[in-house]
Amino acid sequence: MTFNWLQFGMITLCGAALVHWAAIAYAPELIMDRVLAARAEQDSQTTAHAERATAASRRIVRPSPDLLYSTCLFDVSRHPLKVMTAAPTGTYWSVAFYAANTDNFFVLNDTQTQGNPATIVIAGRGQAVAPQGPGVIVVSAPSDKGLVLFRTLINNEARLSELDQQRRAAKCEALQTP
Amino acid sequence: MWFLLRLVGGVTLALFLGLSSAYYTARNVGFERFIVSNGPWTTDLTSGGVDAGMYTRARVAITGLLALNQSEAIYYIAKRDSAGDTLDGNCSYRIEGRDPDARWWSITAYANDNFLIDTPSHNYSVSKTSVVRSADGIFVVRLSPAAEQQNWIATSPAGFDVMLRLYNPGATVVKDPSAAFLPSITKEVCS
Repeated sequence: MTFNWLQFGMITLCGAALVHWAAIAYAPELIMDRVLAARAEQDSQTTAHAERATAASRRIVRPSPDLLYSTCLFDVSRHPLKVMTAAPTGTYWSVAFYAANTDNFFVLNDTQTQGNPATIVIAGRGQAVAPQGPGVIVVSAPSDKGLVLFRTLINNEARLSELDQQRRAAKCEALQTP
Repeated sequence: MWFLLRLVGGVTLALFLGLSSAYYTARNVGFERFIVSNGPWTTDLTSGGVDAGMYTRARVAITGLLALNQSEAIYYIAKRDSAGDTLDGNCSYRIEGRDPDARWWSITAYANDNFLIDTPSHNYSVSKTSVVRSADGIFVVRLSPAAEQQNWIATSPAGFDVMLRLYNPGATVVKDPSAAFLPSITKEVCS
């Protein structure tokens, strides 16, 4: 009887270790999947410009109340995605790409573009991209699906309305493959 | 019947132990070699980056999804004050220091659920562009559930922690985040 309880305990602990490993390994993709699904429900075809974060903002943990966030989804399983940034003036802005496992695999900010807007093409693995104009950056995505996140810093409360207008120039659109 | 009961009990126990330990580990334990401390602040050097390990990815997904990689931003979190005591929502704290070496920085308080603290005044954060400094460049920010006149970040009696964001951090900060000059956190009054 004692042996059976020992056996039971060992099997249960092994099972718990397996569940622990699976939860840690797959939690990022599951959580990201939920975020992408919620975003897709909202409107998957256009760039969404979120309101400034408050305590009522419950979609993404630890939002910054000093930033304006805009997002679009990418799914490069069929076509690359062309991302055109806005260029809000006199403040920090950036565009960051996130893979399905939450990795931030690309980021570009206003200092790097000298304040100019930028065009970036996100391509799937092994996907051919037709030659683009000068200055266009081509980035290979580590996963077919993911998120594009534009950040605009509210560096002056008096400029909130102006910055909100400027950031809305950001766009994402599917690019036809050659 | 006895076998079935043991099977169900074992599976339930395994699920409970596995999931709760995974959640606790991802949320609270910093045993990976990439976590560095700087006074009351800690940061994960691989947060958001493609080099992140599975525990870092899980922790970021739960407590800071969509973080930028270290070249763009460094995120420090303080769950304790400079004396090593856990931040208490019934106490007020004084954050004192000079501007960290970064293009822009902010200090934001978060509730235990990792969202902004509900406060009618929306005093969620203080930043490089909003903080009021004394003539010698030193700032004093107050963390308190009760309103302060300036440089006030509202906290929750239910508990909170504080995040320091450094956007475009200086090269020396990127090289050694544990040696960066960061503000101290001192407990003042508890109710």
